[in-house]
Amino acid sequence: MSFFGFDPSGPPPQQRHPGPQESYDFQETYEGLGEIDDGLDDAMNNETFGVSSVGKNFDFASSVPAAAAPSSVQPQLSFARAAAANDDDFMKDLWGDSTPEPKAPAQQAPAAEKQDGRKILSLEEIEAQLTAIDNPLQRGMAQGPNMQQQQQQQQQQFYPGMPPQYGGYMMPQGYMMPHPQYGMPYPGQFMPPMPMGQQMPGMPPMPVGSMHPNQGPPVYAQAGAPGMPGPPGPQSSSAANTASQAQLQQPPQQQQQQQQQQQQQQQQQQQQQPQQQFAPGADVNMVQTLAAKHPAQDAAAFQAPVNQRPQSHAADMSQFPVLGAPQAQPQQLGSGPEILRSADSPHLAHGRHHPAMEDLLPEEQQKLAKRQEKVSRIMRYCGVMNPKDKDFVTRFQLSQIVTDDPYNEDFYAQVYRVIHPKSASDGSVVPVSQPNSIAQAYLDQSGHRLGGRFKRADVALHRMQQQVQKAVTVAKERQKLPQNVREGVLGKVSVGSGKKPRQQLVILSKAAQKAKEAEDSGEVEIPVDFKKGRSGSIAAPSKPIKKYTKKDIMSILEEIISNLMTCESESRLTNDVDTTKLWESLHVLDQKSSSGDDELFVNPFIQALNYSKALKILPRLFKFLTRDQILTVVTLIMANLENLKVVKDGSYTTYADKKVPESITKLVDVYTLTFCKVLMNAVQEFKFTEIVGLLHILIQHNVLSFVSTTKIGLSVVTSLLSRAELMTGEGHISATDLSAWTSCYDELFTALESRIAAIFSPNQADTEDDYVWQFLATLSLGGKLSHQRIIVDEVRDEIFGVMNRAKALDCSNPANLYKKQNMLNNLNMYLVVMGLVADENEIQELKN
Amino acid sequence: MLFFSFFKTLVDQEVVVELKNDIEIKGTLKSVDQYLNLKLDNISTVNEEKYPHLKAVKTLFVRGSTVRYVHLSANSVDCTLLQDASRREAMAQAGK
Repeated sequence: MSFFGFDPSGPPPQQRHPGPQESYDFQETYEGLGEIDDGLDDAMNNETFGVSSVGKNFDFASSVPAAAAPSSVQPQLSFARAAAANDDDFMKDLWGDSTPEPKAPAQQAPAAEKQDGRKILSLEEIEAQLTAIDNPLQRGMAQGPNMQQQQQQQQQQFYPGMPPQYGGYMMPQGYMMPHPQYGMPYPGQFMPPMPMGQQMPGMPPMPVGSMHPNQGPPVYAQAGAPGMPGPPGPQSSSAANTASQAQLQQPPQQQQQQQQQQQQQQQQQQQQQPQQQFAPGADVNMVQTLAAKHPAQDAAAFQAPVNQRPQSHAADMSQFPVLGAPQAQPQQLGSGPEILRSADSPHLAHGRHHPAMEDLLPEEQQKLAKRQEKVSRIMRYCGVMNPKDKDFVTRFQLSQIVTDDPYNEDFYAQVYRVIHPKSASDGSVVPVSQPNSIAQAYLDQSGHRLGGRFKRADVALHRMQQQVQKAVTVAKERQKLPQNVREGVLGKVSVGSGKKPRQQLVILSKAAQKAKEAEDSGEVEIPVDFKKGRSGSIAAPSKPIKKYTKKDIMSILEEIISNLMTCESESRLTNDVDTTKLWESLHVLDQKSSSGDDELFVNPFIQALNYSKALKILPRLFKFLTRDQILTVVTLIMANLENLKVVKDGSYTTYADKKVPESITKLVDVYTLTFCKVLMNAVQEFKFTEIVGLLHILIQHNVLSFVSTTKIGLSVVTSLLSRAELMTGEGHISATDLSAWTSCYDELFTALESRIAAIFSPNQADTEDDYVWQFLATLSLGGKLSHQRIIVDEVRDEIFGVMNRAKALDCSNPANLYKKQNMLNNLNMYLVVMGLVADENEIQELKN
Repeated sequence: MLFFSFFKTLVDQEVVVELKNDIEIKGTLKSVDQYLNLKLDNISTVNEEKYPHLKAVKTLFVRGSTVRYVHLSANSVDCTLLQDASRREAMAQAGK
């Protein structure tokens, strides 16, 4: 133990009761706890301290040198000494029920540690109180700098010895200077590995070897006590001792103050004025050492603060009962910091590297002190966890949220990011793999730098990624293990996890309920009524036509959507997706029906198309259907066009006020966005004959003049017509097809003849009937001159009406101007087909 | 995982969290975890200003179990996507 300067060969134990100026008899007070060293916990104890057996002959009183009788025992404290000083009786007197807890002998009897912790806590608290008392009595701080420096040296000497024991964890964040912390790293380091078999009354029990995050404060509280072994290092001056003692006592809380008080009273008798001179400096030191979080614990040092101000003994002692009373209960971290705060008065110079206080100007002193206080407040809790702890917690947290199948489990967030990409700050889109993104995000948020403050960020990122990957694999394995509900003797116990929280209600689906009932009743009865959404049944022609209720349709729709989602997630994994289930769920082939059938008997797919839910999935749905399937669907729609609510109720003619109700218009808008687009795309794929065929079906099954009064109906017809015309224009059509087309056109025209003007909805604004003009244009394009003449005759009024209205618009208003242009454009869309162009005044021939 | 997934898309948006003790806190959602614990930045209490104990507070960590409602703006939610996500959850639940 040379680095402590400690000479373990103390004086032989004395037999008589110690007088006022004599040291304690160790033998009398030794509780024998030092013997409890199973040698398992501290493998390096011998290395550290260089002495295999420390013996029991310690004189703790010598650490506080009395001016009159410099004791023969070295004043320096050492861990070993503190560790060995586990005499129960002595300890009880000294510390209450806690025993000094050195860093090295952390592996010693856990009971001892706990007791030490408590005693030290209480003493430190008292010390804090003392410093608080003394603060107003600030005397010359001349001693301060010297003591500080000595202390620093000693502490620095001390620290190098420690790391080997603690897995290389030197100082919090590489901060080498003694720092205002509560000895957390060290206690934190050695506490967890040590099984704390004994529980301190009122202190939370410590799980063995677990680094539970909740343990933070309790660990601290307990560890603070053990972390308070006396200051190390050779100390030539008592000042250093007092300082270290001060720090010992300040951080942790205490349990038994009365014992401390007894202790102090005993010690007071021994102390002499020589300590008095250090008292003022001791204030500074106390604060510093307190900050320094010095884990060394010194029983004698413990005495020091009390003895520092002999004249104020009475005053100090009077404080203790007051101190003790409200704080008799086990306290958390809070009281510690409070004490520290009270002790941390502004005028105490906090840094060791300051010039003497008198050298600074008062304001500078104050500013400095304030800054010191702030720094100390921040740094007080720095390094509470060591990197291993932090890594553990990080891994634990990540394992809870990381999934190996993000698209299925984290569906909303993933797809949302794809659909609504966050506007990147730098404008570049970097596709990041899942583990990387989590790792990156976590690092950004926590500012956590694995491996030291100054290491490069990518090292930390890499490590984080490794952790994430590890966590993923662990999570995968863990998923297979426990179920959410466990059957116990007394009933079911449900356990919740992050991804599958405990359910407050257990609701079985109807199917599950029925299955359960069937199970219970022991019979399986096939219901005759097939009304509930049967899936995949292809109606044979002989089967009676079924009636579908709204519920049926909705359940069919939901089934379609779930099948669609399954297909989509499958398509993410493999390219081949089985769509038969999806196709069958559409019920397209289920039931023939055509326009005008009784509403409830219409094909379920058609009925489903009445709901915007279905329309929204149409684009996604068609992606999975083959061309033939799409053709089938479109054929069905053509045949049932009037069964669509959007057509049936979408005509102004059905309403008295000639106005289509708003709900229908909304549906119409949805249709325009989805259905028409889908149809256009589908029609691109169709052959000419198919299109002609579709037109035929449309004409046959529907009343065209009625359909043409609806927007959607008209759009459908327009799409088919335009496509057909495009194809004829390309010129790849055979003669037979062409003749088929012309006859079809004639049919269409005949159906529409004399009703063409009716397609203009009377209440519609001029800006909204662009689709009408488009239809007219398409119709004219496909027809011969005679057709066009008839069309012009019928819509003549409308043409001139538009022109007049355009003319009447006041051009000053830019909005009106725009409107006028719009109207004219729409009109010209049609007129251009015939080689004409109109402005607000007249129609002219289109000149190229 | 649905709500966790959902809240992840709400990070960095202003929300109003109504707690079971009737305090409403407006703030920027900074992070969320699987228990729907929330971290709010730059907070201000909407109603209970008569309980000024949050006056000096800028950042909060709220335990998920104490939340009654989280009020958000309608345009931060993609409803059709949410529907699909719910369907997925229901399917997953039914499957289990």
